[in-house]
Amino acid sequence: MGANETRLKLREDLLVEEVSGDWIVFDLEGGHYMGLNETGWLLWQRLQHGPAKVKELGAVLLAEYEIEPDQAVGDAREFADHLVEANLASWVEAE
Amino acid sequence: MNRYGLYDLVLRSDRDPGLPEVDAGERPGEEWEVVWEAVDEPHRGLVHDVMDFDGIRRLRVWWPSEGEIILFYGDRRVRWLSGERLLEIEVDPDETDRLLLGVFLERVVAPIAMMLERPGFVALHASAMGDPDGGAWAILGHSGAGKSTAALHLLRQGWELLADDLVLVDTTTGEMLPVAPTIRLFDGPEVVKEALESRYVEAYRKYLHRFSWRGPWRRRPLKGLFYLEPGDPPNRCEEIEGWEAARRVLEQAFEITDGPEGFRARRFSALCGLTREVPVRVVRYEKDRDAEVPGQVEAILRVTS
Repeated sequence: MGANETRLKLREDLLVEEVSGDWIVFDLEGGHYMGLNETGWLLWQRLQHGPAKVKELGAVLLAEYEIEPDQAVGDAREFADHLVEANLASWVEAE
Repeated sequence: MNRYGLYDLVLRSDRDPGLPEVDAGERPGEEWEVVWEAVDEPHRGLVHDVMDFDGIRRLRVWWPSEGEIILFYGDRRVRWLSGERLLEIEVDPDETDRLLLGVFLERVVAPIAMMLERPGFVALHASAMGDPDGGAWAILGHSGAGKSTAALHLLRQGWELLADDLVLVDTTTGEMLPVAPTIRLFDGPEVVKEALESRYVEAYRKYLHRFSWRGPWRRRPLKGLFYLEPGDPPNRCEEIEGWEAARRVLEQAFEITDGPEGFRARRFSALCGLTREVPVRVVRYEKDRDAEVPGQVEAILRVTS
């Protein structure tokens, strides 16, 4: 899973609160919390607009930071895998 | 019918519920009646269910309807009816240990019931102390982290014991509600000379120490949170914020596993708000049972003086 043609979709029942520059995610169903830093929040905001491919998330990072394209996609993939592992998001087929 | 103090409530009871008696004119408070009768297990509304390591259910909380909260803790059962200002208590007829019953009402029933029925209230697994200037400080940490030990040493430094184990905070005002004159420690009863009464609590291999002191029942502004992390030196105390602060506060907050729609979201929002508003410091220290002043107490005194 997680191939370039699938999209990452956030769960819709998650709560987010800002605390001193970090964003705290509360998974009501699982009873778990997760922290997002500035970069994580950037990608999260993109996902709040709808499912996104990894390369689309990488493009978000590329537009914000001075990094190489490979690193941007790698970081985006790592973030996506982390969300899926935490059961906060899932892969869906691209339309 | 005697009158007993519990938070800002006054309970009327013809039997001693293990709480301090108060005179009619001593302090005003919302008057509640205590009746001693059977409390049945409800069929719905279970919101918190804690299983001990040995498979015995420790604390069960139901919230079947607004204004009604039921708590089971071992053989003790309590039904809290806020609309009628009524507390129904069922205890084993052979139970004569009023200290343990009072501690249960004071440190478990009241904080949880008030947290559930009052918007903006949160309950933290912490000890709380009042400084000489009238402020309150909460000391958080895992079981055995040294919260109650810190509370005892600060008590000896002239601070006031406001709560031990479960601390109730009104996040709408940033105030802490004082409650407990008891501390629970691993140490034996002989260690705490100031205690009026000490009792071995078998289930936890700890001792409860009850003090005569009970300060004014006024709320105090919460000035800060200390999160204790015992470990290896070097000892240090530093302010933390963002996720590092929030995760420590959230993990030490009393959580319900189910409940009315919107309640858990409001609670989450209230806890994040508390973390934004009140400084959080992590205290890393080496445990030293022989130290005259434990490392965590030194750090707390350094910050608060």
